Amino acid sequence: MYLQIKDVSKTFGTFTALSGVDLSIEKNEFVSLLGPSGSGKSTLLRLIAGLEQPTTGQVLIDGQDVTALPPYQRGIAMVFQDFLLFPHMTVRENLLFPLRMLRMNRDDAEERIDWCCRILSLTALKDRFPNQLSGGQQQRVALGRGLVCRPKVLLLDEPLANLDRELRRDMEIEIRSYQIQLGIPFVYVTHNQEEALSMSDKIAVVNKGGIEDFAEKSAVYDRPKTRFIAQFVGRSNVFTGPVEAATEGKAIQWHGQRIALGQALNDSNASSASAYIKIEDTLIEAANANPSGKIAGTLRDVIFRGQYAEYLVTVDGGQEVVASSIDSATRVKPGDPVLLSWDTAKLDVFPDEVAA
Amino acid sequence: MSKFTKTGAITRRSMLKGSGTLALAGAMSALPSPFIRNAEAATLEIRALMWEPYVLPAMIAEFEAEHGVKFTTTFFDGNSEAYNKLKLGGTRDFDLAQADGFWSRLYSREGLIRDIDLSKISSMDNVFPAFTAPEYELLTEETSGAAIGVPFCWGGYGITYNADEVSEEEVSSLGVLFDAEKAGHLSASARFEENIALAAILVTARMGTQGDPRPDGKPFNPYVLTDAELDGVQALLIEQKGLLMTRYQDLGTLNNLMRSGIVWAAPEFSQVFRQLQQLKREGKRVPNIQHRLQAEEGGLGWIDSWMVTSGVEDSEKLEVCHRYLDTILRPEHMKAIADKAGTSTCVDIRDLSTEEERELFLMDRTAELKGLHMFDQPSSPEKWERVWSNMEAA
Amino acid sequence: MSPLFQGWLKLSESQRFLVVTAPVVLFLALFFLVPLGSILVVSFWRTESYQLITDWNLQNYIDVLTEPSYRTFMLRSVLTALIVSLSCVALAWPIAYFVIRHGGRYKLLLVVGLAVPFLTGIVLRVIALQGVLGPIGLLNMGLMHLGLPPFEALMYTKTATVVGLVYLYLPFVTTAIYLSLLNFNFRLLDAAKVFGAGNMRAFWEITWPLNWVGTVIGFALTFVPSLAASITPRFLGGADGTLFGMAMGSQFSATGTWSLGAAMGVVLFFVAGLTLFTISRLIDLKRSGFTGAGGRD
Repeated sequence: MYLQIKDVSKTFGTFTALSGVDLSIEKNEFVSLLGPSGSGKSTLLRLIAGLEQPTTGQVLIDGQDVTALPPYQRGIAMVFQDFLLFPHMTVRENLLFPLRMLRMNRDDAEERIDWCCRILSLTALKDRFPNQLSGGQQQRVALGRGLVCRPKVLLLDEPLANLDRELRRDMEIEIRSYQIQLGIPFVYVTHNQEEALSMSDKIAVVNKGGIEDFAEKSAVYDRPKTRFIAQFVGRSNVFTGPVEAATEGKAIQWHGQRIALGQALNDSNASSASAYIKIEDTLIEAANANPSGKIAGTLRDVIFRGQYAEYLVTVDGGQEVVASSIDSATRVKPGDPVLLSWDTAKLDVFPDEVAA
Repeated sequence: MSKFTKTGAITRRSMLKGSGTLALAGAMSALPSPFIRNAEAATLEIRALMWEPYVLPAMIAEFEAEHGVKFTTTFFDGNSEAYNKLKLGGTRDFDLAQADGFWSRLYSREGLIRDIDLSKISSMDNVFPAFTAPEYELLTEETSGAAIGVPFCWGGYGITYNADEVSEEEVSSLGVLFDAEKAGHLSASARFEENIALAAILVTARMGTQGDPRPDGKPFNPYVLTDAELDGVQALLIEQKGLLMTRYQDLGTLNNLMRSGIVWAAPEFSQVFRQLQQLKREGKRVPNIQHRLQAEEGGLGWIDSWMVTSGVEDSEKLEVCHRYLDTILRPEHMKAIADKAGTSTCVDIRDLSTEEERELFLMDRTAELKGLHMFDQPSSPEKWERVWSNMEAA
Repeated sequence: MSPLFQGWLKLSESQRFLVVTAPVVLFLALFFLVPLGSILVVSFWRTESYQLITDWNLQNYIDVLTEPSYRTFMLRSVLTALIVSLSCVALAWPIAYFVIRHGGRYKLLLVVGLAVPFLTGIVLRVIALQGVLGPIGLLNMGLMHLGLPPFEALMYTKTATVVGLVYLYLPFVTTAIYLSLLNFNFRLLDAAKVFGAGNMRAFWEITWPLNWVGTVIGFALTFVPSLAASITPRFLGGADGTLFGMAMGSQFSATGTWSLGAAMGVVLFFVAGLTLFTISRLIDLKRSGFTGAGGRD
C-alpha cells in the first residue's frame, strides 16, 4: 500500500470530525473522497497533508509513518479549491516556490518549470500575476504548482468547484491524464459525484466522519453498500413502506402499490423497508403493453436532457416517480397513461431501522 | 513671560469652556421666547484677554448681574502671544487685556491700548504706593504721563529651594542654580526669556559690566545685553543644561519634583513655594522649602496689570471697563486671587490676611520691588533665540 | 424631475466634473494651500523684535541649513522618528497578529480598545505618561517601594521621549497592520506549508510581503508625526531632548521669530515629503497582492 490511513480520528473540541477511518491507496490510483459538505472529507485530506494532526491514528506514505511530520516533510502537494496562488508572485515564481523550498539548483528548477508549463500550456503566461489570469488559467497554475516538485501524492481539494461547467469537463479529462502520466496517487476531494465518477478509479464515500464504502467506482454506483450511498450516488426513485410476504419473496406496500423485492430481505424480519431503483433502470412504456407486474401512472411531464430524457410520472397512488430513457421511440406524451417497470434484481433494498 | 506656563489641562479647560458657551448660546437662541432674544440684543459684552488663573467666576457672575453685561474670557500664556493677538486686529475683539512689566508701555507705543481715568477707579486707593506713579512708572504713558493700566499682582522670579539640602548662604547667589555639585537636583523653567535674563544677571555681575555704560544708554537691564555678555550667557546655560533634572513645563511638575526631594533649587514665581508651605501647614510630609526673592547679584520681578484696549471708545463700554477694574481691585477679590493663583497682590489686603499669609505673600516687602529688574522684551529676540537654540542643541 | 436635476443634465461632462470637485478643491485650498502658502511667504521674510519685515531674503533657510543647532535638532528628530517607527512596527505586528488569530469574536473589541486612548488629547496622554515614567511616577514609585533604585533612563531623557512617542503612535500602526491582516488570506500559509515552507519561512515568504503595504503605511503614520513631535519631547525629553518640532514651535510661541520658524516648517515639510516619497518607492503595487492592480487582459 502506498498511502495508508490507519484508524484515524479527529476531534475539534467536542465536535468529532472523523472517527476510526481506515483507507489504503495504491500507487497509480486515482481516489475520490466523495461526500456532502461537513462530512469530514476535507479534514481527511488535511490530515493526509499534515495541515491537521489526527487525534488518534496514523498516516503512512510509501511505508513511512508521517503522522508527526510537518506538511513540507511529507513529499505531498496539494491543489486547493480557491487555488491559493501566491498573489505577489508571477506564474513562474509560483511554480518555483516549491522548488526553492526544496533547495533545488537553478538549472534543474528552470527545467522543471519549463516541463510544467509545457504540459499545462502555461508558457505564454509565465510572467503574469495570478490576478491577470482567468479562472481556468489559475487552475492550471495551481495544478502545476502541485506537480512541479513531483510529489509522492497529489491532494486535490475540490479544485474544480470554482470553474464553470464547460471548463470543468475539460479539466476533468486533463487531470485524469496527468495522473496516468505521472503514475502517482491523486486523492481528490469532491461533493460532485459526476466528477468523482468520471475521474476516479476508486471512490471513498464519506459521511458523518466515517467511510461508508471504499470500492471501485462501478461497484459504488451499481451496488450501493449503504442506504446513504444509495441516496447520495446516482439518482434513484425510493419506495418506502411496510414489508409483507408476497407470492415470491417479499414486497413493500407503497401507497397502494406492491413493490416486489425478489430475493431481497429473505432472511430479514424487518417490518418496513426502502427500495431504491436508479432512474435510468426505471423503464417506461405506453399503457397498451402488458400491465402484469408493472405500475400504472400518468405522464406529467418530459424533461429533455439532450442525450436522454426524464419522464415525470404520477402513479395511481398520487406519488411521483422519475424514469429516464434514451429511447426516443417511447412515444408518450404528457397526459398519456403509462406503465413503469424494472428488473427486480436491480433494486437496492435496505430495511428501515427499527424504532426503539 | 507668563507666570503660568502652558499645561494641557488649562488648554483643554478653556476649549471646553468655549464650546460650552457656544452650546449655551445655541440653546438660548433655540428658545422661542422673545424675551430672551430682546435681552440678549441689549446686552453689552465685555471681552477680556487674560491669564487663566486670574479668573474669578463668582465675581464675574456678580458683576454681570449688577451691570447687566456679559463678560467673556480668552486665555493666553506668554506676553508675546497676547501681543500677537492684539496686533492681528485683536483690539476689535477684546476690550480688556493683561500684561506685565514693560509690555504695557510697548502696547501703548503701538497703539494697542488706550488711556484710562484713574479717578473713576476708587479701589486704586488700596494699591501699595510701590506700584503707582511716581514709584512705579511703567503703567503711565511715556510722554504724557497718562495712566495706561492698573497693577494688581506682583512677584519675583526668585529661587525656591530645599533648605534641608541647600544652605541660606549658598542661595544668596544665583550661582546656586549653576552649581555642578548639585547636578541632577536643579531645575529651571522652559521659557527662554527668564532663563537668559537670570543667567545674564549672574554673568554681568561676574564680568563686572553692570555698572558700565549700557548699549541703550540706560541703567543696567538684563534684557539689554552686549554680544559678549550673550556669549557668556550661552556658555553658562550650556554648562547648566547638564545639571538640570529637567525644565519644568508646568507648576505641577516642579511641585512634584520639589516635594519628592529630587529637585533642591529652581527659579520660579514663588507659587510652588507657597503651595508646598500650605501643604506643610496642613501637616503633610514636605521638605523644608524656602524662597529667596532676590540674590545678591540681582533678581527679576514683574507686575501684572489690567489695560483697556484701543478698540474701546469713550462710551458706556469704557465706563463698564472702568467699573470692572474698580471691582477687581477691591481687597476681597484680590484676596480671592491670591488664594487661587498663589501670587502676591498689589492691593493691600493685610486686613483680610493672617500673619502667616502676610509673610508668605510678602505683604510687608513691597519696597523690595525697587531692586528687581522688571520683565521686559529681549533687546533682540533673534539673537536670544540663537543663544537658546545653541544651548538646546549643545 | 426637479429643475435642479434638469439643469444638471444640461451640463457637459467637464462642467459636471467642475461642480463635483469644486468643494474638494476649495476645502484643500482653504485648509491646506492657503496656510502652507502663507508659511512659505513668511519664511522668505524676516523678523526683528516681534515685527515681521517684508524684505525678501534667504537668510532663514541659510540659518536652518547651516547653523549646527538646527541641524542637530533635525538629526535628533530623524533618528527619534526612525527608532520610534521601527519600534512601533516591531511591537504592532505581534499585537495585531495575536488579535487577528486569537481575538475570536472579541477581535473588534480588542482593536477598539487599542483606539480608546485616541479619545483623549495628546497633551493629556503625555501628561498621563509623565505620571508613569517621571521620577515620582508609578514605575519609579513601584521600584522604590520594592526597595529597588529608580529607573533613571526613563526620567526626562531622550529614551523617555521615544517611549512616549511609541505609546502615542502604537495604536495607529497596530490598526494599520490589523486592517492589513484582516484582508489577508491566512489559508495561503497552508499552501506555503504544503509546498515546503516552515512557519518562519511561510511568514517571511507570504505574510510579510502581502502585508508590506499595511506595514509601510503604519510606519509612515508614525514617522511623520514623530518627526514633527513637539509636545512629547517637551514634557518627557528633559533639558537635552529638544527635537526639531519643539524648537520650531518655540519660534512661534516664545521667541517670536516667525520667519525662521516658517522656514523650519518648510524644511520639515520637505523632509517629511522626501521620506514619504522614499517609502512609496518601497511599494510595488503589483507585488502587494492587491487584486486588480495589474488589470486583467
